[in-house]
Amino acid sequence: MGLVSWLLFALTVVLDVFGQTAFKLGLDGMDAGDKSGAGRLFWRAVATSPWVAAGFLGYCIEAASWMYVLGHAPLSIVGPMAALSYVGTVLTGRLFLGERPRARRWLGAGLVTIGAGLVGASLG
Amino acid sequence: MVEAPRARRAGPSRDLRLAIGGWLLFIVVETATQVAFKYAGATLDDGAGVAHLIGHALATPVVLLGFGLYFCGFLIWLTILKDVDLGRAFPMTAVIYVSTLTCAVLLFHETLNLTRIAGVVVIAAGVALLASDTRSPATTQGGED
Repeated sequence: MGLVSWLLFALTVVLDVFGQTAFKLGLDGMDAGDKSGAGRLFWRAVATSPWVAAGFLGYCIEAASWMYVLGHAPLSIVGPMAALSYVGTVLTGRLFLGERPRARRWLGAGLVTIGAGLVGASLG
Repeated sequence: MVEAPRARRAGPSRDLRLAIGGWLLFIVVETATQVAFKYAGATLDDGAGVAHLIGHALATPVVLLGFGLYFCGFLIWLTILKDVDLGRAFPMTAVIYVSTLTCAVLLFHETLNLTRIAGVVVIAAGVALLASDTRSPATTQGGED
């Protein structure tokens, strides 16, 4: 697994965290009626949300980047390591979404980070 | 187990069944996406430059399948996310990592060494911890939002 693969893997994680956070920001910013409205109202609000659009664009780049990574690295390495995006969303949830993670969520984020390090190291 | 909590905002059990069905569908679609992408990545030759790579990718069925599945997963995810706190919803996607790892071994014949298995176990433990922090906006609505 070369440097380019690792860099694109990092990009994938960053874009995933960005996309998740943007989707949530977009959904939080929606009119309550649109959000709970079944079907058309909800999807129209989704389609016109700038945050959702930004997140979706990030997802498209992420998909291409991820495909490159998967073509050059074992799925059993980068698959589990992609859990690092959990750590990122706990951080952005706290920083940008006003979420208040409890200690166990932080501890979980720490364990995911350690586990991802182990998986990466297992490549030898 | 199917008993819905008596939360003010929670709907009847039909909603719960829809939610569980949605999660299962999401997990299946996401796992299939990873498998399609892995096949796709293996078929693409990136030595010929980015433009050629993109052109080739768009003409390869398994790539298009991967993107199609990816988009479906995206739509399902949005419907899930509209009702659930992000920090709570996202860790629950952990199941995908188990199913993906299984596919890596069964379909792509990857071998797992001890360090890798230990790492995945630690990740799973971390994700389980994350997921067990189930406090959502519904239960903390005293604050402004």
